[in-house]
Amino acid sequence: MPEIKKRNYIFRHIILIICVILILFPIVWVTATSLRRDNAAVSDKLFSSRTTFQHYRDLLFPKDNVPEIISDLNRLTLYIRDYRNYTVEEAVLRGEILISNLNDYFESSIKELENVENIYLKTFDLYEKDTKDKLMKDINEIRKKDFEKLVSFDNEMNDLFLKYDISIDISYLENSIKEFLNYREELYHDLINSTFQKNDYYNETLTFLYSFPFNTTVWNIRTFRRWKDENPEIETFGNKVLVLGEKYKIIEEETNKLNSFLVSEYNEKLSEETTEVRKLETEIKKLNNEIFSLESDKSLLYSRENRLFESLSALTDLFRAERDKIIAAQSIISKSDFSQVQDQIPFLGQDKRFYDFVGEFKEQLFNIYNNISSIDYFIVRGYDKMFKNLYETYSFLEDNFGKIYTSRNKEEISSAYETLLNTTIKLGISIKELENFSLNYKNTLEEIFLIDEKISNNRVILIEKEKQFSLDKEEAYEAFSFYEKLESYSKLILLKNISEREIKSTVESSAYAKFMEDRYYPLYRPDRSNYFVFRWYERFVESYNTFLKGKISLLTLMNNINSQISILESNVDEYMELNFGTSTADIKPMANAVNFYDRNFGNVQADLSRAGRIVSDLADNTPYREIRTNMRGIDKNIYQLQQNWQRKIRKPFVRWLLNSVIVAVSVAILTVMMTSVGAYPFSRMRFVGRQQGIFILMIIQMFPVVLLMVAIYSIISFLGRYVPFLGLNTLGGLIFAYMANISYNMWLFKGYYDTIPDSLEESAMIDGATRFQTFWKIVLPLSLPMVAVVTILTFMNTFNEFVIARILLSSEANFTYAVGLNTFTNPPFQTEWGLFTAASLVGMIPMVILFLLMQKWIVGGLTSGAVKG
Amino acid sequence: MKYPKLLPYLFVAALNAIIIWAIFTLFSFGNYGFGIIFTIFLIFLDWSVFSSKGYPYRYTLPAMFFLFILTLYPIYFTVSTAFTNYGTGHLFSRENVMDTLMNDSRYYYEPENMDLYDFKVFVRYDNEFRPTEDFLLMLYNEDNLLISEKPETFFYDNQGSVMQSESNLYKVENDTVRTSKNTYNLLRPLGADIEEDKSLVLNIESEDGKIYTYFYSPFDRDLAANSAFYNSVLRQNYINSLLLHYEQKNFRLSSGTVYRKFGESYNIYDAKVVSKVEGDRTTYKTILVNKLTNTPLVEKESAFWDYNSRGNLERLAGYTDFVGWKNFLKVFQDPRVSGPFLKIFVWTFLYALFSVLATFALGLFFAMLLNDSNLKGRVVYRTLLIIPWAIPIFISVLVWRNGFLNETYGIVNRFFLANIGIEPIKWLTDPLWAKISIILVNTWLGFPYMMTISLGALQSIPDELYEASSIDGASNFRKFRSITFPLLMVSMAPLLVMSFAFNFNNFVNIYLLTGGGPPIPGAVTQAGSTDILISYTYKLAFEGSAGQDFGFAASISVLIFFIVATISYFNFKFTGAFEEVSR
Repeated sequence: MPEIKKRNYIFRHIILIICVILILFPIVWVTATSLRRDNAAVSDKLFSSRTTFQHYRDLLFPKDNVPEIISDLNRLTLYIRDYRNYTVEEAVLRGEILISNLNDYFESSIKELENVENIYLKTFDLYEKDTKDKLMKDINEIRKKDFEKLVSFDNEMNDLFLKYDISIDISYLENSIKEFLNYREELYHDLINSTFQKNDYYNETLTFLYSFPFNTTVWNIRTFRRWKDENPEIETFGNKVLVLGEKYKIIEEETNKLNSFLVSEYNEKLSEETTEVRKLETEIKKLNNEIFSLESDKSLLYSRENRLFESLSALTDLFRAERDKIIAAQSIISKSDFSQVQDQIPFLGQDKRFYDFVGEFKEQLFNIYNNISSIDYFIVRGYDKMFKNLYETYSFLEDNFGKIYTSRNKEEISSAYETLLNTTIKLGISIKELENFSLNYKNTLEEIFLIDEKISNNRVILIEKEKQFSLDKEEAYEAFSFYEKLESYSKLILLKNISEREIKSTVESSAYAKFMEDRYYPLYRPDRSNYFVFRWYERFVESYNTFLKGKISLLTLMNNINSQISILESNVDEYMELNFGTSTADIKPMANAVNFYDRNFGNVQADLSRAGRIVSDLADNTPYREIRTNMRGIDKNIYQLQQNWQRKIRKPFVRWLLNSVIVAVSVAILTVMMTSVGAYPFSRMRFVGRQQGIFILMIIQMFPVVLLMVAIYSIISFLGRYVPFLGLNTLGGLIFAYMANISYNMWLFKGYYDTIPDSLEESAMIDGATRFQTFWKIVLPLSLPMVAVVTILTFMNTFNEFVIARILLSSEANFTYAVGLNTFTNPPFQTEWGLFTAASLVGMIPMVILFLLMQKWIVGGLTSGAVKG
Repeated sequence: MKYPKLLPYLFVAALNAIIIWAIFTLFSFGNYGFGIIFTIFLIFLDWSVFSSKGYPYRYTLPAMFFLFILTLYPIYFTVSTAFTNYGTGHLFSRENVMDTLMNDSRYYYEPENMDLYDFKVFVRYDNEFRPTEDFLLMLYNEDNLLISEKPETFFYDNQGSVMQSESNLYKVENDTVRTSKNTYNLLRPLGADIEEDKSLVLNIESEDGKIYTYFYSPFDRDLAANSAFYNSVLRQNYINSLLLHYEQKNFRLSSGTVYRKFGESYNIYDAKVVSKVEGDRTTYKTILVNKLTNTPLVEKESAFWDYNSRGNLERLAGYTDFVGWKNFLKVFQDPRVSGPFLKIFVWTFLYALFSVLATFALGLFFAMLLNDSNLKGRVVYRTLLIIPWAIPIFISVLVWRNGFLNETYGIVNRFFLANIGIEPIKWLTDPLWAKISIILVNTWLGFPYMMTISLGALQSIPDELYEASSIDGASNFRKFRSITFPLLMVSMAPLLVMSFAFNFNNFVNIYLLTGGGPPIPGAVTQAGSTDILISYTYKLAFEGSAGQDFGFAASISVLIFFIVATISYFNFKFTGAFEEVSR
């Protein structure tokens, strides 16, 4: 009996769950992004807590906001575009509606601004009463941790000092630091509790007090002098600040002394270990430089070599061309008998030149031969031998020149002599060059060779030294690291003392955070995010101030626009008359309103978004719950404000969806009708071309549709001239173009018809029905499942089809959903991911649901014909 | 229901009439290809209706109609275009180009010492005192006062915009003018001195009561407010292309006076028939001649060329011409084209292959996991895993492209890799990674289909086989290798081949994801590293930076078609589809 084991499915479940999460992650991301306020690219986090349905609202239920109403109003008064054919009464009515909408927006904006300000103030209150203490406590906790860590560093250093027998005394330094810090705190309190006017100088000094390094020279010149002039009462205080500066100088002095002491101790006690290593380091550097300069020399040489080579090979080719002639001529001459001939030497003309050249050639050719015979390229091609031959030839000529010259008119010799004369003179022009070039080339090659050797030698040495260097460095690692610590020991002391003191104010905490984040002491690298709370208050105040700035600008903008609009409002009837008919005047108030918006909203937007961004950041990271809620509230209101005022790019999204649905449904219905009828004969009748019929259809439709684009485009444009609703850029034309998909659907129908037994129809025909009636009344009703499948498949495919639609449709209002979505990826939409993902989701979800509902049928339809089993 | 037998025949007769009319229109346009297709369809239609042997085909008529128009004709068109140089610079037929050169206002010249006329526009207002497009033109100079009505004849160019409109001028005698359609009377202001300025007219009345009011004149500042309507409506739609005839002379808005007066204007080029005698055969050809210089236009490289004022040959306009096998040869012979072409071909093949393998492997893997009926929630898993297939392709590809694989902002680079600590990968801009990312996305999109059909196929394998093999002591892997896989292949092989053919031409994925991919450096045409044949062709045809070359693209399409058809043919052969049909 075989054992029936209970299979363990947990493993499978785990794998499946992981896979599902990975595979469906894109969809999750799409949904999350569509709900974000900012655009995904800008933020650091994958999922944001600031959610909004604004994107969906913008797509599906777009509502005009302020700048759009203003532009609309503008167009209305000029009677352009949509308002071209309005009468005066209609225009007045519409104008009144628009103006009242605008006023509504203004009112709500004012309320929102008030709201936000209230929340801010409430938060400030809350802070003072409650949060401030909590904040300080948290801050000091972190500070204490810092302090402990630094103390442990200090102890470590002390151990090391003992080990290396270095004794130091830092008590004076520590005291000076403590004195400095105490005095600073005193001054801070003085400043806070003083009655000085809180102007820019005041604020500057406040921040300056906690800065590091504390250098009073700049402050003195820039701030103190001017402040003194404006508010002379601050002089005593200011002098105290200068005293503080002096104290800091003492610290600096002591620090320098300490440093130099430490360095000298180090050199005394630990130098040997490290000097070797340093020496090696410098040597390596030198070697590298040398190699570098050698290589650049080499590349220069290479370029020279290239140039020379080209000239050289061109010249040798010259000789090559003439060589055969010369040798042939020479052999003719050498066959002659010169024993009885007298010597004669030419004095004039070409012959003289010939004679001179021959004399020179011999030597030159010899040199050339020497040079060339050491160059591989030429050896391989036999040029060295060629020059050797030439050399021998010309030697022969020189030796026997007199006799040859005398017999130059003899029949057997004269042609050879002529040839030699002409050729030699021709070559004579270039042989000197050839000699030079060959010499140069050979020398260059030699130089390159030498340099190459030098470079590789250096490289070998370099590798050895580098090996040695890394070994030595490892050994001396401890000494090196100790040196690092030594270098920054003074900073450690300073840092330790600073972190020892309790932080009591937010100015101090901000300065502390900045100091820590700057990593003054390089060996202590705390995580920057720890110091978030330190800066909390500072950033909150910054956000508030930015918001106030934005608020004031927005209110000003509103007032300006409002004043212009009210001019329009009080004279609506008259203004509308002015431009009726043909445009005669620019309506100044409208133009002004548009102008105000265009010029000033940018600043408002910048301020508000900045305030909002800071606040959202705070909201994400604040540990105090109530404050967090307040922050979120501010953020939401600011966002709403922005949405009401920001200029948005609108797309006719709902129109697109509608277009897609219309086209898909029409195509589905028409295709089903066509193919269900058309597939019938292939299944039931025997006729010519039946066997090949569907098969040929399938083959024909393998032609990639994309490439038939040009033809289809021209067909539709041709059609459009005679039947306007079937032309380019119309939905009718698009539907027409989609009608081409028949073969696959016919295949499906035919397969299904094959499974319906013939007997039903035969009995019907016996009863007197025509063939078509049997089809219409019996077969078709039985094939409803297939009809449903084909309808759904065609619907889905048409809905998703994008290439043909893009080519045929050109105006935005006629786009289908697919083409419209594609425009979201082009500028200026590229980073509007909120809109893009929201749009994708809106289209995606119905299709997915439809698919899932029908999946049984679809899958069944697809596999019924293909999978046999 | 018995309906008169006449009705369907009347319907067919009407259809015949329409089609015959269409055929004639096409042939008169010179669109022979389309005309022939229609003719064939007509024959087919009539045969199927009137012959008893053609009875089955009557069912297929609507389908055939669309097949002919939307598939056969485009194929014919593409194949024939492959033998021409249709493309940028050669967009119209020779006759069309000649027409344009003879009639388009760009090719008109103004003779020296020509007659110049100032003009005034008179417009009829509607009930609301808004200007309409019904207007009269009054031309005047020292000698004449002429009136023209709104043009009725228009000539359109190939793109459907107005190339030229024409109208006649009639002379005004004693403030009355008779045109071919109407008589008009000129109304002058009181005390107007006709001798001094004969153009002072308030309005013009026609005999049937229409009143045309003085609306605009280029030199009249008082009416400058009307210039908007004149410029955007009247001038744009009528007057720019207007050619006025008067006593053997033609007039047009003259560029020499910044289009503020009408001057004489004549076309530069005219047609002429020349004959060539070769032996005892005379051939006639129509050429264009430049009337001013009396030289015939040079025709080379499928274009018309003329000598400009500096004596250099200047290209005027090109036309589509038959170039024989040049396009096909270019693929194989031009090294700048065949190099990238080969690369693209290889990559197309690899891409289809890897896509099929990857989707099949992943789909099979999931199918095997889900095949067990004891697994709880398998329907849920299957539903969830099918979702990538259900999402419209363009959405998912765009999401992948912008949201995931974007080099700087993409999720994959920013979060996954940054957290693991790997350097950001240039998904879409590095040739190798672009190829990998395409296959990755394709796998994501395609594995549900494979999973579904694998599940179907797996279920058709009887369980007894497995039980019998367990008794014989087979391991899981052995079972897979010897039972599952072979039986699976029997049913899946044709689908895999079909999927291969589909991916071979899978244009949408590639185009949307990388647009063809990072360009291959040094390629003359726009070949990219992830281009497949079909996207390469598309780019050549529609996005060529050196102009669109439809001829060349068409030739590549033909090649692609043969490749894919071959693959499908063998597929059908092997799967016995032939037998299926012949049942």
